[in-house]
Amino acid sequence: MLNRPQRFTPNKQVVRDLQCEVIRQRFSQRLGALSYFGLPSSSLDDVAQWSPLLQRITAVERGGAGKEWEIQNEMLMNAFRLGVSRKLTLLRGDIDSVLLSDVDSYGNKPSWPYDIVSLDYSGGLFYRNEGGRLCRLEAIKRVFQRQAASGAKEFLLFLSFNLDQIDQHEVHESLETIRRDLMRFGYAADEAIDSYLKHPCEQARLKLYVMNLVARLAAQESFDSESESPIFYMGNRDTEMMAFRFYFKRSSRTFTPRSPKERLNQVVNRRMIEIVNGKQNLTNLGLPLIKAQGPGEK
Amino acid sequence: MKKAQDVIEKRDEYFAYGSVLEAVSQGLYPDRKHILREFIQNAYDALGDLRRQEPTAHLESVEITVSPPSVIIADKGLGMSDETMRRYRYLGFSGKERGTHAGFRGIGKYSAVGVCDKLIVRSSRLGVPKSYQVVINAAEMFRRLQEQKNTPLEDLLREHSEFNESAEDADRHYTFVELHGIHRDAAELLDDSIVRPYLVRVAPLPFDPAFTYAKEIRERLGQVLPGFLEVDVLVNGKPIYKRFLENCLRPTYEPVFATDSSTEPIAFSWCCQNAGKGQFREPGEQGTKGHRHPESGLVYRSSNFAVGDGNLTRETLWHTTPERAFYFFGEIHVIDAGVTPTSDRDNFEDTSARGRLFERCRAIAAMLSFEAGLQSRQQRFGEVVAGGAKLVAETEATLKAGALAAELKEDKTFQVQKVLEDVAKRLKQSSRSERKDKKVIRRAKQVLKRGERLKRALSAHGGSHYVVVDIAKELAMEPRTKAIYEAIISVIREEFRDDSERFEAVVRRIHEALRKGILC
Repeated sequence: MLNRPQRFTPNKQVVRDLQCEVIRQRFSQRLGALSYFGLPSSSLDDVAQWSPLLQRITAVERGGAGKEWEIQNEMLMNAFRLGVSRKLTLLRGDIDSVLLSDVDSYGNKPSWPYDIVSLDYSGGLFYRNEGGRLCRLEAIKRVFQRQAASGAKEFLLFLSFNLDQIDQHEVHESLETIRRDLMRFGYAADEAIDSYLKHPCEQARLKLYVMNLVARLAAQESFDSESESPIFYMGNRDTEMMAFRFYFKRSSRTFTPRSPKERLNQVVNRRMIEIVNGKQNLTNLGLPLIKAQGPGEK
Repeated sequence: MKKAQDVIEKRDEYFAYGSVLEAVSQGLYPDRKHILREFIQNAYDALGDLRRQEPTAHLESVEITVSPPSVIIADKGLGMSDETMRRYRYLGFSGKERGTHAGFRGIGKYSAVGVCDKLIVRSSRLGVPKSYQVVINAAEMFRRLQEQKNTPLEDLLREHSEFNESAEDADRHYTFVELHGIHRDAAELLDDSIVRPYLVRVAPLPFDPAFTYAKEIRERLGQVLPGFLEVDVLVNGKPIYKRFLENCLRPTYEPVFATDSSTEPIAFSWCCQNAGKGQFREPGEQGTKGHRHPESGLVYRSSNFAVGDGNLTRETLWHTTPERAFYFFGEIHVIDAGVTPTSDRDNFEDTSARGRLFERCRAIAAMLSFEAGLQSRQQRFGEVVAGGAKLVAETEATLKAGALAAELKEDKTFQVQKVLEDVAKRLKQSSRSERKDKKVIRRAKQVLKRGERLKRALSAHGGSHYVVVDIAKELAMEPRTKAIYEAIISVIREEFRDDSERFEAVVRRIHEALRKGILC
């Protein structure tokens, strides 16, 4: 039997709708002319849903080991079935490799820049390559570099991943850095950061880690970032998933190196959307907020 | 020496072996691009089947996508049934019918296995809630052929191909073919700049919307050709069209019958003649005549796919004045089901039906040759009249201005006389012709009238009211000087006998120089 096309769970559908809402808000003047780079499902239901908004779609598909052609063929076939093949360019290979090397397994190149970069990973964020490097995080960094080098003025980044195999050391280090930065700005951050560190749910720490990380990577390439509330949901086979939505605009500031424009306390205080059975609620996971503005914060 | 029985373990007696596959996949199409045409032919047939089953159905574009390392050919035709898809793996089996479908041998698909690692075909038939997939593992087949001598063809095809089925919406219908892992020696299939012009030449495409007569020709072909079908094709998302040549005359149409008395046509042609002079040509470099346009000439089409190019019709139909074949562009659509294209479609199979087709189509060439001759004559007549009118007008103006040198009078008289004779001769011919260009005839008569008047003026000695430039008189030349001058002019005239314009220019320069040297 052939592979059954992947279908969205109700929770995932809500995530897709929330992402779509951001696209419509941020690019209301250019709907229908947008370009997309990312990891769609092989059923392409997700891209087909957004197809009216898009003019150009670059999809990356690695395929199953040893049978790479199978899922790639399915994706191309579904693009034709759903009428989006005219917009679609398929890059064959691992997305991290494509982002790092800027070519797929057959030498095809992405056409930067893109308006929407959707990194909908089925695995975790802390994937390490054979050399032990966090290549996924490096790949995300390259997104900003490639967008900046190709003259992107603004773009959206959708990032989702599962909560398996978290690099606790990396996360803790990062949260400690956030604590130091907040304190440097005069915030009484100890209580809040300690609460994050002790919180039983990984999503609490990852919320802070990812938002801070992405904002910093963006700032290094002179992009100002604005984030939407992060999302926590249960994916296929009850996998815990998180999804992030960021909007970046080329900064008008000229000095380097850059620090994120979005204030750190805003990032910490951003509430999370939890999606359960297709319904969303806003929650701060019982974490304390940072209220007072420190003297150093301008 | 080992016997075949020792080489392979026999379950039964086999009558076909793996080399057949090698021959089909590697020998059928030395030009790899024909492999693409093979699959477009299947798409064309699928769309034709859909139209036969659902006459009002909208036919969607066939999509060719070059996505290295693959080429994809996809259509939303009727799609294939369970049985047809199972048989897709068969070699030399086809459920298609000659005369109805473009393909019918059932071997073309196997031409692809020589150029790719896998041939993946997925299809869903309209009304059937399933899709079927056939995967032919070409690389494995050839590996086995290398490792095991005399592999029975049956084993090879059966063991290295897969058949799967899956649920699908009943209203979806399509066939999606991927040639995956295209080999380096067939890299042209991955080159958009090669694939596109090839398909423009051979595929059953609609005419370019910019072609003025596109609609008219399509309608005529639709009326005359049974099951005439044009297929929209997108190559990497962009539409391609049949080429046309600009600056052409309105198309002419000609049915071709098997005999003088039969009423069922065996072919139907349309063609447009160059509105300009002679053959259709590509734009040449500054001041030079370009090469003959590669799209000129008539092309045979069978099921709206090209068979050969303009040279095939020239060779088979134009036995006299072959250059005139390229005064036209157009098509000869073959209707006779007995006339079958060769596999690579560079000609038709050598049968009596082909002989009859060529024989009967020669009438088209004869008619077009006649047309071309007529057009050529008319064009030449127009040019001669225009040239005559110009010469007469310019000479009259020079005479009126008193600027005609006495030395040139004789030449001018000769030129005018020659032109008038030419105009008169062509006027006579044209007046006898069935197709008269009244405007040119009227103009020719005017030229003759004015020309005769001019001739009289030029030949008048002293009686004319026109004054000519007599440089000897003007410069008061001594008789001896005048004699020398006349001798020099006579030598120059002789030198420029074939170039009156230069002679005239030289005389004028001599006059200027003499005036400058003597009077100033």
